[in-house]
Amino acid sequence: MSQRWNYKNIISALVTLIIAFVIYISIPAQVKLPKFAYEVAGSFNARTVPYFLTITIIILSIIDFFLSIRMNLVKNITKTDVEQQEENKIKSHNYIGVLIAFVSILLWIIFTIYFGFRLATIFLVITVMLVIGHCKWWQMVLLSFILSIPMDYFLKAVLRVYLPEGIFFE
Amino acid sequence: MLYDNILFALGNVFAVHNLIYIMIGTMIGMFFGSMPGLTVTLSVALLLPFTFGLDPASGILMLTGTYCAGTYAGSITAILINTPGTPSAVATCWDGYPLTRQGRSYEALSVALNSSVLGGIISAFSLLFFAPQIAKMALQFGPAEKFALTFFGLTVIARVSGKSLSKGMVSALFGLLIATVGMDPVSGIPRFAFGRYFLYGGIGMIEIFIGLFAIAEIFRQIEERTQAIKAGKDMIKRKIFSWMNIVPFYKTIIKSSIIGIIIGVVPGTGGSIASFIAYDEAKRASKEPELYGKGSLEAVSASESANNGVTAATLIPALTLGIPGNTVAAVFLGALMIHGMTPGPQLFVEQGGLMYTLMIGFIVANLIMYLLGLFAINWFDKVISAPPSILLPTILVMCLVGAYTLSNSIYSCYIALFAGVVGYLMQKYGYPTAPMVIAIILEPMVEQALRQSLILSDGSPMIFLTRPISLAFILLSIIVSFLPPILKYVKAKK
Repeated sequence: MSQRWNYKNIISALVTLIIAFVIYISIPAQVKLPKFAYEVAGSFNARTVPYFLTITIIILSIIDFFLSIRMNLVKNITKTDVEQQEENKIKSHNYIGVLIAFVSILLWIIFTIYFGFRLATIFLVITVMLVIGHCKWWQMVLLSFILSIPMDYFLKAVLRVYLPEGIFFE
Repeated sequence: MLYDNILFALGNVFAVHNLIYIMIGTMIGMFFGSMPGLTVTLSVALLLPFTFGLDPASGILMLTGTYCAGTYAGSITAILINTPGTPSAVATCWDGYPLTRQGRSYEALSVALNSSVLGGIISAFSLLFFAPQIAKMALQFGPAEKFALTFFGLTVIARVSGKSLSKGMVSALFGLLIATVGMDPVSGIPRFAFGRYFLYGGIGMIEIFIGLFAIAEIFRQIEERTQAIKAGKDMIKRKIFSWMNIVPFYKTIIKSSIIGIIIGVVPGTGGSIASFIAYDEAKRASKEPELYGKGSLEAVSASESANNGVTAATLIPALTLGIPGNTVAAVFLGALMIHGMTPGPQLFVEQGGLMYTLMIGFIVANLIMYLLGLFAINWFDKVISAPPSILLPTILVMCLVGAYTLSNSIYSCYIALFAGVVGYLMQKYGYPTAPMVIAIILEPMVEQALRQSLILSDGSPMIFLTRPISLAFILLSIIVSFLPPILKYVKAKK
């Protein structure tokens, strides 16, 4: 049984560290203080809270990073091949499905502006149903219809919510 | 005089047409509260114009039904699909949804309903009997006290951080950072707006919750090939639920309702902070704290009774002092003024009958909500029996539409999607989302109160230690944060 490092915590600590650092260096550009702000608010101004938060995240991420390395060096905590195989057996991850769902939501947002809510929703519902599987074609047709046209009418008539109609329905 | 007013109010509330108005209001509230993106404030505001043509008592009673039911109904989607219908139902998600995944959604829904009704009724009694005294307490809350109270709310983070406190802290700090986006609360300087006007108003809480809870959960279920829902379907446990089943939680419900009342009277706080503090207190006092976050009925009862405990209490400063406690109370205040009532100390003298109608209306609205809820949860419970291929796309579309509806802007959908990805990755890498959510809700209150206090004290932090209520909350925060680990350490040493 070979010992394998568990990189999950190390990666997450590094990612939070990088994000916090990027936000930290962007504060002067993103929170522009007018001259009077220094005079009126003194030491506590609009930048104080973001600086305090980012610095604390950086410190915690560094601590987390070293703790994760230390944990990996402790023999019992690393995953063995057997444990890894067990974990793989429990779940068969559908990462491609997640990626397709993400892209289809993104496309729904973009399509809604140009092609309208109804067409974009039909596309989204069918895509997500195909990703999930275990559904019949008539279920896809029926659900995509119900969630697009009748819902659009309901939102307009009852809640006065006007979703984009797109170039085809204007 | 008091008895005359109460008799007048009883006659008003139990008139058949008024009972029907309360019922209609309750149904509308339930619908709005259970839809992600549609808020209680929106439902009360949308209903308001329809009350213009009614007599004041009927109009106010209908709005009361909507308000009570809307606050309760946020728990339905929180329990069934991990999407809080209202921000105050966030704490209900933490245990309600795990219960659904264990096939115990019916129990969770029943506990939520019973606790909400009890919380609402206790709150209504506080409005009925202690309004003037409680209103005086509300006046004691200045910025320093509000900061100490919200800071106390932040201490909950330590208890909902799960296995890793450092990851919980990082999650909370990122939540605080997200909440800083938009105009600075004191100087009005834009922060992290990236030149985008839609970010000037800040990032909406509900969009974030839709993403963190619902969209992230959809991603997770797609990744796991929706095994969880199928498992839930196979083992859905149905049982008859009565008042007797709620008996073990009475202590928690009463305590949480009182927490809700106390926090509800402080203007600018609201149901979310009440439910967090009640959840934390219930966990501290619980005999089974290890179940919290994994599916505890007691936890559901704590958060639900607290957020419904807020409902009538928020109206106390609104009615007696003219200070609305939250946005719903502000809309209510508007409704009262439209119907010819001027809030303030004289309101109870000049319009005593109507005021008592409102108070008794709260009790009756809760009872009607209970009856309708009993009928409705049987139907709501069936939602999770739907196949994932139908349920997930339906939830997804409703969430995206809900996000759009909040600001009538497609950018809200981008925010929800972004939050969904963040929530999904956080789950993957073991970062709890609960601390982030608490931080997002509390940050605007904490920062504003902190800076206002420091301006008042010329920058001296001593303001927090020289005012008794503020000092009490700060001491309480220290005790709650440090005492349990110290006691644990001492116990382990022995």
